[in-house]
Amino acid sequence: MTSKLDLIIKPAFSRAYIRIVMGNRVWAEVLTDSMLPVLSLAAYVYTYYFLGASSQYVGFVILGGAMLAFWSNVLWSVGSQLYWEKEDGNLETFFISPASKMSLLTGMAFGGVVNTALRVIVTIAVGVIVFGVHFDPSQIPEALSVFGLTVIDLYALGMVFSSLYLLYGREAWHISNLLTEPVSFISGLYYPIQFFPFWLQALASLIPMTLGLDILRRMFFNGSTILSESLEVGVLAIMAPVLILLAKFALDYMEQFSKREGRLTLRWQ
Amino acid sequence: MAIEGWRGFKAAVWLGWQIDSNWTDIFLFSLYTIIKPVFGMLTFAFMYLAATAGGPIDPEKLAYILVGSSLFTYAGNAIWNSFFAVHEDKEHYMTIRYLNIAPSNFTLYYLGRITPSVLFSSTISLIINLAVGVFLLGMKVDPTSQTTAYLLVSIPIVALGIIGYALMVVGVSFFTTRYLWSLVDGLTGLSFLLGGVLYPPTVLPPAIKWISQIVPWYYWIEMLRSPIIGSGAGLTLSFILLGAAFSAAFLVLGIWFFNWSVNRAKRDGTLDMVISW
Repeated sequence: MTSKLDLIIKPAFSRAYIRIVMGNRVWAEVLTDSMLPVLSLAAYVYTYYFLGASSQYVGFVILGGAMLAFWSNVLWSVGSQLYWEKEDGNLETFFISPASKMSLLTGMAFGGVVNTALRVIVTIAVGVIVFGVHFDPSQIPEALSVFGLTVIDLYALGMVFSSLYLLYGREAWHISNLLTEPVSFISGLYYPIQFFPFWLQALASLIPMTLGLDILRRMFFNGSTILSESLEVGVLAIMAPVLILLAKFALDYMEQFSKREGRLTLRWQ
Repeated sequence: MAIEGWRGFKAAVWLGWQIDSNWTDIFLFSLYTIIKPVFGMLTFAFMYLAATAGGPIDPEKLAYILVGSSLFTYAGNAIWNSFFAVHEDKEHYMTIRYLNIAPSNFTLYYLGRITPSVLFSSTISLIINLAVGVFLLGMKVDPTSQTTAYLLVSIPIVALGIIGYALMVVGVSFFTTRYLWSLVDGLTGLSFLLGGVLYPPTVLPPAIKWISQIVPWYYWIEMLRSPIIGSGAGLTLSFILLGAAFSAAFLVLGIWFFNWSVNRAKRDGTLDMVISW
């Protein structure tokens, strides 16, 4: 007899398992996925060299690049995943099974975190070995906590986006595509957002990546601690449950709405 | 023959336009077209501000970066859209087998299919990017009659080279699927790093900066950027000839490789193979 708990845990585990095995079974692919983003990041580093920026900006680029990898994964492998499933013809199966949809999304998110983390290690290693970025080792445990919290928030945000795909097709795809550059700009992936006007800084703070990067930069390059950044860390901590609840609400609502509209399993929209 | 080719090309342009734009109304589509590249350019503008710590702006350096990034985004989009057109036809809409057996010219079909995205989306966003750079960010552009002449000569040369480059990427996508995304990302990343897009190759370490001299993007970007920012007089005849030689080579290779790839894909049974969806 399958218990309710099984219907939450097993689908999450299965979906994460598929994603992790599928994403890492070909080592050549893991290597190329890890190395290729470094080429673009290196261009950003040389741009700062060209501009005569101080060495900490190279660290900003490496941290930003690491976070960008997670953000891209959130957009394309969690936020848009239900689009792929719909086009593949799997979505119907997900919806007629008694499994919790939230647990499926959690499994996808967990698998995505593992896969992306494996690739981001290469980015950080290149930053340290090739570009000489120095991350204070004493800050690493606290920084990892902040990084983890930021990543949880980002994936929860991705789960909110995913509900859009139940109703929309190419429209939602284009929204995902559109979100890459503006969010990278507003969240200050490669520079501190202190150069923004106050209203834009406030708006940017609604994106977990902005807060997470800001704290991490101050921890690694200005010697801050979790305690001294408690306000921003607190906001990040509050965002996670709020976004997860929002994702649950959005998923339930959009499921009903798209069923009424007859678009839940409509392909090639 | 020519009329049939033209009709096929026209139909492909119409199809490309519909696929690109009919998911929303024209206003939203235009906004979508503009937002992405403008924010991409703003990222570089703020990198500049951050690096100079809000100090005095060097308009020439700023122009070098912003025009370079805008041109590369333009060309990159054209190539990305070319590859993605095949991906859509082959894997998503699964129409490639019908397109291939149709009497219209297959190469002309793909040129037509990507024309709207290149002419409308990318060109408009490039113009808006340059306008934002000049009017909002204080970017220095200095077109004179001499630099305008350079630009008018450079545009068709570079365009033909990029068409050849795009045809090669499209060609690869006929017989591979799994590694194609990585290939496109890798080529883009390498060109971005070594092609003198955001900085002169002299900034690169001595061990790799010589590679820029054999990357076509270095010539193509510089042939367009220099006239726009007003240093076109610095372009030597040998530099332009090298750029033109790269363009000619890529165009000839691109057309040959496209046809070879179609034949190979048919032989191997990969032309309509679906693995992504």
